Amino acid sequence: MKVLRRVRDIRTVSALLTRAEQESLAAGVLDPGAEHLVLASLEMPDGTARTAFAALGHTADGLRAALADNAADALAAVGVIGAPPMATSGPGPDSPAPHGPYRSKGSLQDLLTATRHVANGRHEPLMSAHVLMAAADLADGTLARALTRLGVDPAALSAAAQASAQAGVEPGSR
Amino acid sequence: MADPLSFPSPDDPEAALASVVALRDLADRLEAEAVVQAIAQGWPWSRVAECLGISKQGAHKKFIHLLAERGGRS
Repeated sequence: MKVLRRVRDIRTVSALLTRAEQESLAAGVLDPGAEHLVLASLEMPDGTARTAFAALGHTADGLRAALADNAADALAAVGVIGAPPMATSGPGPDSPAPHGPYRSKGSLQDLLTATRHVANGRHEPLMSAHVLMAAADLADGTLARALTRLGVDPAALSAAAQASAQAGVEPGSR
Repeated sequence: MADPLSFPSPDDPEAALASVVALRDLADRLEAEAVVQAIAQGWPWSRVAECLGISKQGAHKKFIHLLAERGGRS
């Protein structure tokens, strides 16, 4: 059972990383960060992160818009006005799966490590909702600022993600 | 005329650091678009690399995923 779970977790991580890179490239950013991992989690087929985020009244498009608005504000604060806005549409359905060496920002690596710890600590197979539980602990950075802009309460996000993960666990898969 | 570039207040390092990240991402996006255009116009990787001050291999490795995403040649 443990071997099966490990194989499944590896596939989940691979899907998350692939989608995170597609998200960052669609925004024109070469290396994905924690914010792209969260956007990826909201598109995973298990649906647990999407369900939790929707329970709080939010969507992936809303998070993309908050990230773009924060970036525009941060540029304006140092006098950069009129820069092309960050894309908020996300990757297209025929976006190719990237190949070759994987590049990412440290914030993505830290969030992925925290996500694995959360899943292991709960003795659950890795699910997209675990990304949100780990993200809820971030106090600073691009992702935390975007969640604050959306009015997401970290405790509520963590609780919604826990409930969604609990509902998403298949019997006997722990 | 746009406001001149300015440094953020030293009293608010959180806002200053957010501006640093946004400037890096903006430079990333500018660099990416310029490379996509250069390759689309038939530039060799060696010329792109020279302009950016990096190795040809480094340029190829850095932008290969972006070009694949944009449907460009690699």
